[in-house]
Amino acid sequence: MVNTGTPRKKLDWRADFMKRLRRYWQLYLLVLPPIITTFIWHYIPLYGVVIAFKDYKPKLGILGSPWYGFRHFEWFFNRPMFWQILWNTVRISLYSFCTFPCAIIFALMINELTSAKFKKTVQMISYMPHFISTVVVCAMIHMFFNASDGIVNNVIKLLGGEPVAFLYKPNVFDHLYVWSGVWQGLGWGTIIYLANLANVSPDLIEAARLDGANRMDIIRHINIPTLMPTIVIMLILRVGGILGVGFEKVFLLQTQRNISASRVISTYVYELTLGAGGSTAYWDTSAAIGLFNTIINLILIILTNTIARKVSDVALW
Amino acid sequence: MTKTSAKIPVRRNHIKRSRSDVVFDTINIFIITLITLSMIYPMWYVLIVSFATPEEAALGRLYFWPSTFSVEAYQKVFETRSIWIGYANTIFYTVVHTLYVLLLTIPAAYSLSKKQLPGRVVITWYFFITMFLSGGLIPSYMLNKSLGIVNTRWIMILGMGVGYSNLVITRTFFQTSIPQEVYESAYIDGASEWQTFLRIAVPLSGAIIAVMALYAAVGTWGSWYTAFIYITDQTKWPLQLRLRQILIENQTQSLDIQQMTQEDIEMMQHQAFLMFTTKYAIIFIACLPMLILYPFVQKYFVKGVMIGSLKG
Repeated sequence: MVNTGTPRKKLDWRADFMKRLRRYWQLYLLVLPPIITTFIWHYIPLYGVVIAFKDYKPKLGILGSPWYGFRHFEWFFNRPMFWQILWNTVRISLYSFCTFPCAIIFALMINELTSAKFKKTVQMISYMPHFISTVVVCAMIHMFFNASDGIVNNVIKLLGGEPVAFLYKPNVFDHLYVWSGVWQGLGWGTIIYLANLANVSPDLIEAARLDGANRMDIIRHINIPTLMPTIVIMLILRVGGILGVGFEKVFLLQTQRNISASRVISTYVYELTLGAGGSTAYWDTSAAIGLFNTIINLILIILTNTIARKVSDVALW
Repeated sequence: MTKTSAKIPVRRNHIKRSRSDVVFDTINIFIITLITLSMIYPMWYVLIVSFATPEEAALGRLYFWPSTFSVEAYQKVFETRSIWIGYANTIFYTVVHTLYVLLLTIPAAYSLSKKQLPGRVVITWYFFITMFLSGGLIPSYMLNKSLGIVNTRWIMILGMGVGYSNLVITRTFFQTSIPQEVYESAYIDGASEWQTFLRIAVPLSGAIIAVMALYAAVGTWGSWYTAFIYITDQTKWPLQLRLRQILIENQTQSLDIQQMTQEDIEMMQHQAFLMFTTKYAIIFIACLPMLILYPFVQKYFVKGVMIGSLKG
């Protein structure tokens, strides 16, 4: 250690600061570039959010524009569309959230496989969809579920049914969105759980078996408790994003006909501002909408983290 | 340090398998096989359609194996210039942006791995906050506009460049995988922090650099959002944005179908069918680099997840 041996003297903070800087300036310099880029591309836009409380005029700039109070928020809350957008956002998130246990169950199942070769093959294949880009996955959905020549409708026709225009139906949007997400993320999601399961001592399992435990007992009383801390952490991260339905996939699966189910906060912000019918007049409003979204997410994650800390000692911070 | 998936120990069969074990295993293997097949089938279907004759594929008679093979769809893709421009752009963006990310992430993570660094906690929080608070679309747009990088290639390269989780993964690697004694002996020999970083830490951290490079590269390869928001000049478009235009917006004219069509009705129908298989060929070509690399790089990705799961 570098700083052992020197007895700590009482210095005023400036001298103390200079001394530290002299000793560690090389380390600080190594971490400085990302501090700067983060400041520019993250903290400056964060400051830009003040336009949510201003009547923003591009000519006057952020500082010069007059204050506007909470009227942008009021405008958004009073829109008839507000409840639909909020409900779409919450519903899609909650539905995705409900698929959270899939990866855990799949990991527990893979863990029970006795053939190492089969296990490896399953892992190899199930990780693969994770590496397909969002655009390609959504393109595949558009093509497979196409009303006239998609394979899904080919099968429906083969079975004697009527073809369905899936992407034009608001009520199937959620299922397409969520289950394609499961398809893509299931295998990848198991990695972290499988790593934890690998740490379960074989002796413990053997002892349990000698005591007459069957496979389900071992899963319930050994494997699942082993996974608990990881599950809690993953859960907190998921809850924090509950209103953070990403723009990309929703937007790529959105069509004019399913928009009543697929208009979420992030796509609405785009629609108002940079989209085909958008205008700079809505920039301030959209910042208010974004801020509303961020605040709810923040409250949710702090809440879950606090609860998790109380209940299980596992928390993000 | 970390266990890769391959090293997960197989249950030792010291105890005789009972009847209920056999039932359990059979059901388990059956369900897993079904899930795995449903995962691979969509990818398999893309592959077989792209190599099938347009008629067979588009009329919905193809499910498992094409009766005749055809490379017509691929010929069509090779004639489509815009795809290759997008490909070249994406390769450029991926290489340069990955370097940018590495140069920002690796040194910073090394620095933050030093427990004696004063202010380490504050700096870590500075990055941690970015996970939960963000300016959003318009404030970011305003910033990039005032930086003058909208509609330039810079927008695809510059940016924050560090993600909190990547920083933590790399930091954990430096803390756990390189023995502290190595550093200490270097300090005793009078090495400065930079020398220690460049001569000791970097040569010993090939694995984590590979993980970070692959994370960044896969991310950039698949990204379309930034370009979608900021780049209107189509010659600068990355591949994914072009794919969106061709495959999702259904802008068939970008494939120059007008030039190809004849008055002959059958020929026109063939062109329409060919469009169908061409889309699948485009998907396959867009995924090809990933598919080729995947078997070699898979273990690095798994490693990244493992290091990430160690609490730093």
